[in-house]
Amino acid sequence: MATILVIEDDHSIRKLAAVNLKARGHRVIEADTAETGLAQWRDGLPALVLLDIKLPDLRGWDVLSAISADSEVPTTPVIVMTASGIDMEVSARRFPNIVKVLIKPFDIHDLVRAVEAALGRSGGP
Amino acid sequence: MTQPPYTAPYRQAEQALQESEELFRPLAENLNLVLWMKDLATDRIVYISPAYEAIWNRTRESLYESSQSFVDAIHPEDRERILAAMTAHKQGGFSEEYRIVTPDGSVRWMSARTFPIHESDGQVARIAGFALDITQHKKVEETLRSVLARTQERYLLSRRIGAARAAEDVLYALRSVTTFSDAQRAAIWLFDQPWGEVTPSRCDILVEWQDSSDLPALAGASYSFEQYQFTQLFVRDEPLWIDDIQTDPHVSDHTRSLLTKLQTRSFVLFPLITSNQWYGMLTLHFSTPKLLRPEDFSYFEKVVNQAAAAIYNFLLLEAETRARQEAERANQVKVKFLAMISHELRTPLTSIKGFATTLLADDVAWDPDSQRDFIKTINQEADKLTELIEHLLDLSRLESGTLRIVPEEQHLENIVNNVLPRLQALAGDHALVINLPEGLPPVMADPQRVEQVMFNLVSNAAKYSPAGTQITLSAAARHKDIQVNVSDQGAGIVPEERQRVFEPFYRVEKEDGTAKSAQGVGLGLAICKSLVEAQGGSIWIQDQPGPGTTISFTLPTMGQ
Repeated sequence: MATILVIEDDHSIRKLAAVNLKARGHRVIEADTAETGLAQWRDGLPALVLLDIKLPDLRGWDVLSAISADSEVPTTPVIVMTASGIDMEVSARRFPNIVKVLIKPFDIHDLVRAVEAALGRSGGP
Repeated sequence: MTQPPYTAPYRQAEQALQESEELFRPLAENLNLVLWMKDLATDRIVYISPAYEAIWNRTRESLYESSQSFVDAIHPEDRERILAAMTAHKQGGFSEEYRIVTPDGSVRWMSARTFPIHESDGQVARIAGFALDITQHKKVEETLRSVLARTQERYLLSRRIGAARAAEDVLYALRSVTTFSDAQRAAIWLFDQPWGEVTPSRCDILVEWQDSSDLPALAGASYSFEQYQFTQLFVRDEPLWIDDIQTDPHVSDHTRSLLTKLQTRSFVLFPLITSNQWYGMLTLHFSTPKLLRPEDFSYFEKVVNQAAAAIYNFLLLEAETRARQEAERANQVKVKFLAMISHELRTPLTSIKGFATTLLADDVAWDPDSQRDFIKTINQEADKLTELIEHLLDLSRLESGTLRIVPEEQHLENIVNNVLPRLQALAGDHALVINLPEGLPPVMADPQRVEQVMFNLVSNAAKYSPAGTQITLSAAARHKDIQVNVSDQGAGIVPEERQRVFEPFYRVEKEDGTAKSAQGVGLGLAICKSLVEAQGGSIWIQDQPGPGTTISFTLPTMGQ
């Protein structure tokens, strides 16, 4: 059973992700801001991060940079949720730990599949 | 005449002399040349031709009596030089150009020479001289010289204007023109609009130079046509020369006091006209009453027209650059706005699609409570989406002027009463207090839109203040309108944000860091602003000490 960190400021979308992941047997930690998200990431050491890139004040990018750059914690795979597809294609290449870009609105099956692929790849805890 | 002894040869000589004099005399009498002869022993003029009277305007008798009158006729500035030359060339060899002043005061240029007359024994007893009136000649010479100087000046000026990078350089280039360089100050005035059918209302100084930094500057202030009565001072067809600001009727009192402060005594104004656009004036200021020759004016006009064209081009370039930058900026804003809209629309859609596909998932069986919860969420998000779309459409219609606003005579109390139940529902667990004084005058407003504004403001107040606190709706009559206020007891809006909250999608960062998405879309205040302004009012956040927010808007009263 893997721990997944969901960083998303919209409470409905956060609930959407949490409910679906828990129903499929995963442990979910939630954060609604960049600060909380990063704190949770350091403490919880999740196997996967589900990140809304458009957090207030573009803080989503800060989270991404922090997660990628921290040498103390091994690279955590990140699934990015975004409303702007095109920009993300380009930016995703900068961060090798992005394993999937989900464009809103998405079918929940796509999310679930992406999560399972990411956990499968990294072997899970 | 007594005849000395040995007269025959003498008489022969005299006869010969007389004969030659007889030949000589008609020549002398008819030439415009002044011929004379002077006896050295007596230092007296023994003969002077009639032309002397015409040129020197004095009688020959006066000269025969005393040659002092000759000296007196020489122009004071040339006298010393000529007297010295005369002394140096007592026995002929004098060759000079000098000025004489006739009794009526006119000045003439003469070219004069003397040469010795040798006697048979080689002695020089007499000298002869001629003087030619070269006044015309000198005038032509002077004109040619001035034309040459001007041509050189124009050439240099053209090169400088060609090298100019800005209007400032053009004005400084003009300094090389004679007379312009004597000026104490020069300024280029720009009208706030080209002067065609409509008279401009103000003008500003584009660029200015002054020969002393101690003097106050014209630049930095904007000058009202009305106040300075420029319509009587600025002339389109030709330059205007004001030789004394104290006495010239073109100068209004205000202008006179302004110019006095600048220590201007006389000035000349040139209209700046290019491509048939009269866009400003060039003024040259002098600190003393100055005399300018009318013939210089046409030269100055040409020079200024050349400068005017160069300056006009710089102004056009500047305007075009600004316009391009504006367009780029506007485009950026549009792009950003569209991106924001796209994001805002996709957010509720994500929940709707997400929960719908969640319910449809084959691999999970949801219990009835969860199902109901998901469906409720879908429903709520759909409502949010609807509200967002309504707001966007309103905003778009307001921008394009197609939103129908029908102002009519309305009593504020009626509008409030109509919307009160909905306001109370919005206020929820806040205490809603209505504070309307008696006898408020009617306003010109669209009741539906006023309701929309109040609805929005109360909704914001409820969102941004803690449960249980008070929300107050009050109004007061002012001079030309009624001011309505909605106050809450929340955290307030910091001064830096008080203007920005009216921008579309702008949402205030709540102190507790609560996600912005919980607060709504951020279009409410932008719409309120557009609605209020479309009805002739204004809206703002009050400056108030202490926590809480008061938003006020005005509606015009009848008769405005």
